[in-house]
Amino acid sequence: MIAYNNEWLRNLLIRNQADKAHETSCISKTEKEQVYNAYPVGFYTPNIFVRIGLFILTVIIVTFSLGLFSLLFMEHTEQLGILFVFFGLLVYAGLEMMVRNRHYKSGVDDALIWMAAGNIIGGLNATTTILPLVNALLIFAMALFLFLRFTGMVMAAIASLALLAVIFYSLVQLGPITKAIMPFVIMTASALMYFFVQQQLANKKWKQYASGLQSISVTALVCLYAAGNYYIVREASISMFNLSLQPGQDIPFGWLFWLFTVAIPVIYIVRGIQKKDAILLRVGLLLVAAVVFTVRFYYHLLPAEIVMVTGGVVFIGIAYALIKYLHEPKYGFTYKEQQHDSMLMDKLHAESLVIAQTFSGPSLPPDTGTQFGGGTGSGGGASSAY
Amino acid sequence: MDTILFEQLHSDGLISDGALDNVKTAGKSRLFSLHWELRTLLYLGVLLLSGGLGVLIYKNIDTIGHTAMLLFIAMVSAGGFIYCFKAKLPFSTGRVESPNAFFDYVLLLACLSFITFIGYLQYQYQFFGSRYGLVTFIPMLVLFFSAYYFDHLGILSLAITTLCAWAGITVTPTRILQDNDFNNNTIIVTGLVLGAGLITTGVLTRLRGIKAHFAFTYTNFGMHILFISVLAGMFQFVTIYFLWFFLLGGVAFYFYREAMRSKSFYMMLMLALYLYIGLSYIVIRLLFYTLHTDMGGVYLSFLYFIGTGVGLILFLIRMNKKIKAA
Repeated sequence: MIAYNNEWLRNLLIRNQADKAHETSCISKTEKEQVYNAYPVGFYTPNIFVRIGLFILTVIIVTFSLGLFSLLFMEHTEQLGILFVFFGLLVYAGLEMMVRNRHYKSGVDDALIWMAAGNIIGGLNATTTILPLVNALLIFAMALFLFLRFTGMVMAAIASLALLAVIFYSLVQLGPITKAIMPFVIMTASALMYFFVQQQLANKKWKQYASGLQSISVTALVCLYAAGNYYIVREASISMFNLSLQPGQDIPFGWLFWLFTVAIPVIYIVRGIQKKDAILLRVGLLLVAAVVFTVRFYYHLLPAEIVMVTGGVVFIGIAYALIKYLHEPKYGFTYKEQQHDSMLMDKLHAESLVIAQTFSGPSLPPDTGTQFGGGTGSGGGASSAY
Repeated sequence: MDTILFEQLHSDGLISDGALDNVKTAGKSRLFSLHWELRTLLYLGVLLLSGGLGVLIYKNIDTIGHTAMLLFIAMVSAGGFIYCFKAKLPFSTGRVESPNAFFDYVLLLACLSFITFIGYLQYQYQFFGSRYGLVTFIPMLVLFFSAYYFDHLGILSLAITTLCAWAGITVTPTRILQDNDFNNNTIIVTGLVLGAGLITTGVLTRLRGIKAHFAFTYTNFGMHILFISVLAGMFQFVTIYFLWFFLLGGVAFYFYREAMRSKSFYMMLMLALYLYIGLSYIVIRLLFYTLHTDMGGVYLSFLYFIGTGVGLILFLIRMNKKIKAA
């Protein structure tokens, strides 16, 4: 089912294990090289920067090819949508060809997956008007197929979102009762999806899909929360199901949704710590922000700046206490950085860029011009340097 | 790590007995790292605190009184700096690790509140009169000093953005294109000077070995400012755009050599993309403004993008190999 060379994929997993073992200095460099030699991988997988470059360029090439293609055939057909679908199929053929040409996560295959799917779905929609339910089904089928064939994380997430959309749209048609229980249905579906995926993650058979399955877990956890979030339930009921509320009136079972809004992130975090599950823990921590925003949207308990200052102090305090506490590893937790996480961050000095981005320096009053004259001494230096 | 796999590797004779034991013990005592979670939390804390304090001051200006406010900010800043002076490891021209996990964030808070302090001083008391430049110049000096003295890359980035603000342009990563009016001739010249200056500083930093690990930050900011200014110059001074294109080629050639020397794929990608933008501009201009082609031009331009796209892909793949081999 997977388009890439299966043996190489297996060998790649073994190589990754050897890399990790080498980074934690369990095995020596020569041992790592021996493992590398015993398990050859023939994929063309360049580093992240080349990958980004190839992605951008492939998108440019395909876009202008589509333009050229449309220009050539436009006179012969009224149906531009059909052209798009046909072009999408061509892109897919190109994708299969590139994959056979040893491209694996090279940026080229990443881009072609997107372009093929986008053209086919977009083209079908341009041809006729398609019901949301049918569209969701189409996207689900397409994303699931691309996930199974190319193991991508994003396609996995899209497939799981589309599946929830299918459930949503098919139940909406049935009447008022299903509308009323919709949040519970979506929550149950997300939970089932999460547990199903957790089961499959343990299965050796799906090793190649591990990253995709993890991305489905994240999607399922977020959707489970979103479906029970008070803000989302309330606003969705008003805008999609025409629920009319008098001022001061609450939605049915409002207290239950408030409970979900606050309790679910806590459950995620607690379970994440208990199971040492990074996904549960990180999703839980992110959702704490959602709790704060939801509560503040309906109850202006405190002015924003007070919340910010106390929040800041609390965050710094918690981080301070935990870093001190975990100075020596306790209960299997540590503050020490794991080596393989830091490689890419280090390369671009990501943290310093984030700081420059979020805290901009002092701003000048607008009436000042530039303080630099045109050609000072350093200006002369510039031209001579080249 | 998968112990079964390593047992397999061991029986195949690929790894030694000791290595297998290492893997097994590592598997048993596997630690769960909260490093990035806690760092993010600290960072968010500083972000919220400094942001919240700013708003708080702004809103309560009538009730608290300016002097009290100023004193409070000054105290936060001074407290932070005093802590840093006490806790820091001895200065050296090489890389100095921070003494503990909070040091970097305390320094960040101290610097940020210092900036607020200076801004507030000027806003309320017109402390610097009409010499507005000083409002950015003084924090810039403090930021550069702190970056070097306490060895903090984040503060260095802040210092560089402040330097650019002082020179009159915004270089915050996502706002560099929005906030600057690149149709303005002064800004283009400023950008050229600034970019070249930063790149020179980067080179000097590396050659002299004074905080050599700062070199990338200088070069990176300098590279983007210079490339964008040259491209802006090309779009602005249309009559002599080919001269600008030569300049663009020169800059790109310099960075090509730089990328080869430092084995930087990132630089190679950036120079290729900037050069491609310049080249495409010229081709489109030639087709539609100079030759006045209509539909034929459209076809030709599409063919140009497809052809050069393929060419550039092959170029990047080749360069990737070349850098790896170098």
